[in-house]
Amino acid sequence: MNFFKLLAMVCAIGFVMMNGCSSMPDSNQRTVPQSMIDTSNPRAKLIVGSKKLVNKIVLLDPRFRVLGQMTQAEVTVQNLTDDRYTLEYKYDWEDSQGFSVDSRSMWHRFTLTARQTQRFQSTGKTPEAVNIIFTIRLPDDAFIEMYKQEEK
Amino acid sequence: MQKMYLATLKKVCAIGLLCMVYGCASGTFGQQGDVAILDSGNRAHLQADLTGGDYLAFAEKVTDKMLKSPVVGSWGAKKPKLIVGRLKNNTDNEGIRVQDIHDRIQETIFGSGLVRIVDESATSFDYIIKTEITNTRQLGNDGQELAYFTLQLKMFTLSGELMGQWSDDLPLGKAKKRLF
Repeated sequence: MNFFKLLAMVCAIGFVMMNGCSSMPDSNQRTVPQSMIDTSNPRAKLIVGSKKLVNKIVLLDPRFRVLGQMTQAEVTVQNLTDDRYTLEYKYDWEDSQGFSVDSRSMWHRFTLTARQTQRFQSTGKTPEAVNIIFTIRLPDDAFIEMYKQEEK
Repeated sequence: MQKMYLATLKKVCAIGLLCMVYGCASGTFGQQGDVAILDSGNRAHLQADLTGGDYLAFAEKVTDKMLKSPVVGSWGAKKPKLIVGRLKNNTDNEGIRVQDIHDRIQETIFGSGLVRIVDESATSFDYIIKTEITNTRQLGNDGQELAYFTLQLKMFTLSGELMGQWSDDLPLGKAKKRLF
């Protein structure tokens, strides 16, 4: 085997290994950046929980304020389309180190008419709760008439 | 040939009759539906009545409003003694698990660390919380149903002064039965 063949083989193996490594996400980061997840505010992770909602429903302007010992958060949800959407939202709270502090949060249903904007508030259930994860999704309800959503 | 067709027809009728009798006797055709584990935050409903998920959602919402109120904000690090009174069920459904709703509310308030919870038998306390659940219901044709539940939470001082009142609503609608 001559030198050039050997060099080509080493380069090929190196390329495959580098390619393999680059596709692995860094396990130390909090979230892998994606179009459906907005982490631009360090205290708020905003998740659009369905590809069908991307560029149709947007999550904006996370705000925080302190009330006594508790933190209150507010997030705006805007409908960019002429369709009416029935959706669900959920607030999860984290402490300053990123640990979950309230795991009993439930999904809450709401309806956005065409072009409507709604704001949703939540109060952290302990004084340690300072950061939020706000998620919206299409209702995951096994018993409602899902065809109404599918028809859009 | 005609006799053969007649015999086959009789057999088909007999099998059909047998199936109908079996169906009436057992009340079901076919196999039972599979059971799935749902997400604990799920709010699925089979009837226009409250589920365990609704109890949690009610507790989350009313305590949310209570914890952000100026009254609670003014407590600071005082940790007043609080009684969470039994839930009064003023709905048309006596089957509502009032103890579960009470426990969820008490758990959330206690978990906040802002108060000391004492039993209803305690003689020394600063505030008492009284809770009540009510509903309205409308029935339509073909199984249509509209139910509207309201949970109210009122906080009184020892002398009976109302210090705060918070509520949350849950409307439930059941569509009409469809043939297909």
